[in-house]
Amino acid sequence: MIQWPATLPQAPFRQYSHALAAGLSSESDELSQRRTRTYPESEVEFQFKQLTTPQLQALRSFYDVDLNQTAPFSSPWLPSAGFTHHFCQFTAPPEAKRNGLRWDVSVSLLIIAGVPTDSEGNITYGAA
Amino acid sequence: MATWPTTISAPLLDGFDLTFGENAVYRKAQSGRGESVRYGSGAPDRAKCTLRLWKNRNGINQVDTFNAFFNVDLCLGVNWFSAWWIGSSLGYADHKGKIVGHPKVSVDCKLYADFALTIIIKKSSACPVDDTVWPVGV
Repeated sequence: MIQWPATLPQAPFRQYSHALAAGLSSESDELSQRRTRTYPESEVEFQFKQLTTPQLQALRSFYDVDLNQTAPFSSPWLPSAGFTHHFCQFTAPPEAKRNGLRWDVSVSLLIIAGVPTDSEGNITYGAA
Repeated sequence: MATWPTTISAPLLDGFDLTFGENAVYRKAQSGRGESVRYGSGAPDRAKCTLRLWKNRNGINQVDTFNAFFNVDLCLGVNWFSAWWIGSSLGYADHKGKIVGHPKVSVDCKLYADFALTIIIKKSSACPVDDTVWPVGV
């Protein structure tokens, strides 16, 4: 799987918005819901602060060329954010805003669960 | 191809918003899984910025200069332009810009006027070479 570039910040800003994208049979019917997924997808918006202009263009190249705007990728900060066996996919183009001499970038990602495995490679379904 | 006038400064970097172009369609299935498909290429990046023009900078009224540039050289925003700040300030290599919509004057005081611009940025090779010319004075 494509890796998050090493030239970009390896962790986003601490505060980020996070919501489950699915997981129930009927999101709107509050009285008759059933769980349908073990690891529902999550919609997360991460912030990266103080990127230089070359880093901004590196992110643009990563999104447009490496990922072709659609491919999933793995990122190093997901385990520390609680996503231990997950990977990401862009749901919208990154948005950059100038902050002083550098750029603050907001990325909207869909966090998708892979197959959880232990250190020996055995599948460990049902783990928290 | 029009060139950004040398007597006008670049748009203010404070509050400069840049969104990368999107050529993908994202669909969310009922299960929650997202599906993203790219259908083409060449969607321009979109920038929203403020252009501050001084009414007397070294004897030059930058507002008049910009209005003439936008009205004649850019033909009210139909034509693409090259600008030094697209490369040096934004990091693009060989890209052109195009003002979309009509610039809105957000501040107009005695010393300067702020124009709110929306600019799309694309590779030079993907931009039209010929400019549209509107007869002046007609």
